[in-house]
Amino acid sequence: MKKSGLIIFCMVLLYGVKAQDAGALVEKIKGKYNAVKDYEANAKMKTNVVFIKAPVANIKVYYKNPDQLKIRNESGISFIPRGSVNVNMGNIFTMSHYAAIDAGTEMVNGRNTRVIKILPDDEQSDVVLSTLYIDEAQLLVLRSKTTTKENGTYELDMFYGRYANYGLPDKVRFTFNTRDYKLPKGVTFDYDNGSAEKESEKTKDKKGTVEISYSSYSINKGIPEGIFN
Amino acid sequence: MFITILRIELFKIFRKPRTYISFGAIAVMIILIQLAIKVQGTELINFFLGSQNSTFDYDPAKILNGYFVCYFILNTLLIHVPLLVALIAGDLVAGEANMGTLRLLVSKPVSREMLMFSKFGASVVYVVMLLLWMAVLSLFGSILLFGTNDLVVIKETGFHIISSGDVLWRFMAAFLFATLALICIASLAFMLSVFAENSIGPIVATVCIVIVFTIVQQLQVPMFQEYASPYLFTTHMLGWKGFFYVMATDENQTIRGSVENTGAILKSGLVLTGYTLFFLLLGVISFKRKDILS
Amino acid sequence: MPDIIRVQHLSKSFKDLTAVNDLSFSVPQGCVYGFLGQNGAGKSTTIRMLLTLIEPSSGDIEIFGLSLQRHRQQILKNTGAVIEKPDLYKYLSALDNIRLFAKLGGVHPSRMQLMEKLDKVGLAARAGSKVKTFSQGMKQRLGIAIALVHDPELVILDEPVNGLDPQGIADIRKLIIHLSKEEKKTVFVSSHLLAEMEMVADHMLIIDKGKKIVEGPVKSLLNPDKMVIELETKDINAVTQLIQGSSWGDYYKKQEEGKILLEFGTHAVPAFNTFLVQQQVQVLSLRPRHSLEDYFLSLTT
Repeated sequence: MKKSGLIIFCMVLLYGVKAQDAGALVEKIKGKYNAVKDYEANAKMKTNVVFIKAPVANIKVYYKNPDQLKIRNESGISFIPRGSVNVNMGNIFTMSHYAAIDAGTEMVNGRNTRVIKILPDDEQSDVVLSTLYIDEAQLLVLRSKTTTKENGTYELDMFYGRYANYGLPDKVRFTFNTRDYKLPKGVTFDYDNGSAEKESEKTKDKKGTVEISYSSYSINKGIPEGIFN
Repeated sequence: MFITILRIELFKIFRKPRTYISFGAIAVMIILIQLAIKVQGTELINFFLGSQNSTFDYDPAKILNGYFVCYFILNTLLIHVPLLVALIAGDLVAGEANMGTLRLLVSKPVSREMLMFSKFGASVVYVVMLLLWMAVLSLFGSILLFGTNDLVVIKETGFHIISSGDVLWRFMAAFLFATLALICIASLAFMLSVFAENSIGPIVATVCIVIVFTIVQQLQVPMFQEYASPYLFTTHMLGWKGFFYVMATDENQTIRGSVENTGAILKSGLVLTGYTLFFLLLGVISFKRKDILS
Repeated sequence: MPDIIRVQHLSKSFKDLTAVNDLSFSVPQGCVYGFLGQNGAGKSTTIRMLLTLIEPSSGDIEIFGLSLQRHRQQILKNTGAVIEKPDLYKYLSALDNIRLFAKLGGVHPSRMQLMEKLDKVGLAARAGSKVKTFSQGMKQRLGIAIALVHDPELVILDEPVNGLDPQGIADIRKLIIHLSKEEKKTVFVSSHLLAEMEMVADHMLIIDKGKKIVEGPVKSLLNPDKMVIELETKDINAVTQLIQGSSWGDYYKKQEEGKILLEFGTHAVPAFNTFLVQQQVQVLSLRPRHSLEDYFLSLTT
């Protein structure tokens, strides 16, 4: 922690000049995002985890400002990554005390973006560091990388369209860390159809992604009680 | 004539009290498993998926639906059902030898081959009825008790989620395959039955062979895995599960109506059919040449 | 009369045991044919070969003038048998048993017809009872009803009176004679009891150790002039000496189990009795014996 503190300190020094700029940009976007008090969205979710084969799921996404988010598969079964609460920028933009550091520019999905690192001041915050890739012209976050205390590092790619005015993406790709899945031999009595080796080889890859394609948002219409419990 | 003798054989089988032991045992086992899952199903899910609890959010109650329960029952039960099949098939010839009715039967104007094929045919009918009974209780019973939803198939190295609308035909196919597997067991017990003068021998021998083969297959010793397992019929008896291993896209999205490796299932089916024909013919030919001394 | 069964040079060996050794015989149509031999003589093996249960090692069997090997089904359709103990499906009723075997025999009698068949052997009242509740005699009778259910021309009965009480034995005897005389069937019946066979059989074949000893009409084989007479008395040695010293000495055979055996015609028994009385011999019993052993004894002298 001490080391990372020192690095952050150095970065703050280095980009100190631009820090005001970065802070202002973040505040502007924050204002835009905070205009959405809640939403209920219909979407399709594709899970891509090496050890899970799942059909495309029809899901509903519920959000309530500041930081409540719930993904529900109304009919079928989905394994929803716990960090998926971060598919929304809420938990970043609801921080009241943070440091925003300008980290230059970078191309993301073919577009030029400002890279800004967000450091929460709050010791209690689960977020340790978040890097935002911002399209300055449209005031939209195209990518974020968030490191948390509890749930590792997440990456979020957002693709905007119809709901860009609200800062809500049409499609989100969420990348997260997975744990190994392996049961002891002989528990499940598997049938050997020749695919087992291929599968165990693949489980060494520790990243999973979830891709959510939104078909419709219902914004600021209120959310039924109890959804987030 | 075949139909006449087949009906006589079925009449004998279904007049024997031990026939109903099998049906009773299956009912009791299925109901016990259903009850256990009803009471402690969440623990079961946590046992299989607990390691993923910190990464994923899932609803155990949804996973514990009728399809999952049926799959779990089949997984547990199909290892034990060979005993119940052996109980009848191992008795077909040896039981008659022991009772003393074989000599009267064979001195009737019916060829020995016809007699044997009818007896085997009767054991096939018995297997089919046993599995129908199992299907009704485990599938429809579980659906009634637990409802339906997507099926989560748990394997050693991962799990497959199959849409609820894509499940039923897989169970039908699995039951058909299980029928083939159990007919193979029936043919083994039937063949052994020819060489014995009382039914305990072939029944115990059949069960022992199944147990030994299963152990060899589960030991995971490389030598066994390479030279023994692929040729044991017990390995291929698990082929019914192949219908629940679903194909996926490069991004791990399951493809509706697909089966991961149809070829492997087909091969297993052929191996089982081969074993069945071998046991059956060995039994019939031996019986044809046998002096009836009982 | 044509021969119903013709057996030529029939042999059967099991590993190192020769059960039947070069056996030849013929069974004339319509007769009761007694097949005699002690236990283990090869009777059952022969009967099992007649019924295709055992494959002969060598030799030929013809039944109804047809080769058994080539016309098995046709022959068995016209043959009924009780082989050793009448074992049946114990968990089925008498009616179920007889119906089942009728179907296997290629006939499909109605329930009424089956009940009639059971009535003939006195089992109509127990038609619905499971066979496991039956006595040995009832099982034997049911076995015979089953052997006759498809109205066969040839009836093979293997030791049919074994384990039966005197009444049961008499019933079977009556039935055998009825089948032969009234229904004109050929009855091939095996036994180890010579006296029993003498009462029912027209022809007789005696085998020992798998080989034929004699074959022919009973009347010519059982000579009443050569009977074994058994005398039981208190002082066996003194009486033996007495007999040997008298004119009866020529008929003396031997001592056996405390009895004196002699051989002469039954017509001479009263004269021998008078002799014993005159000599003041204390007679416990005096009677003709009629066993296969005695018959062998008489054959060998």
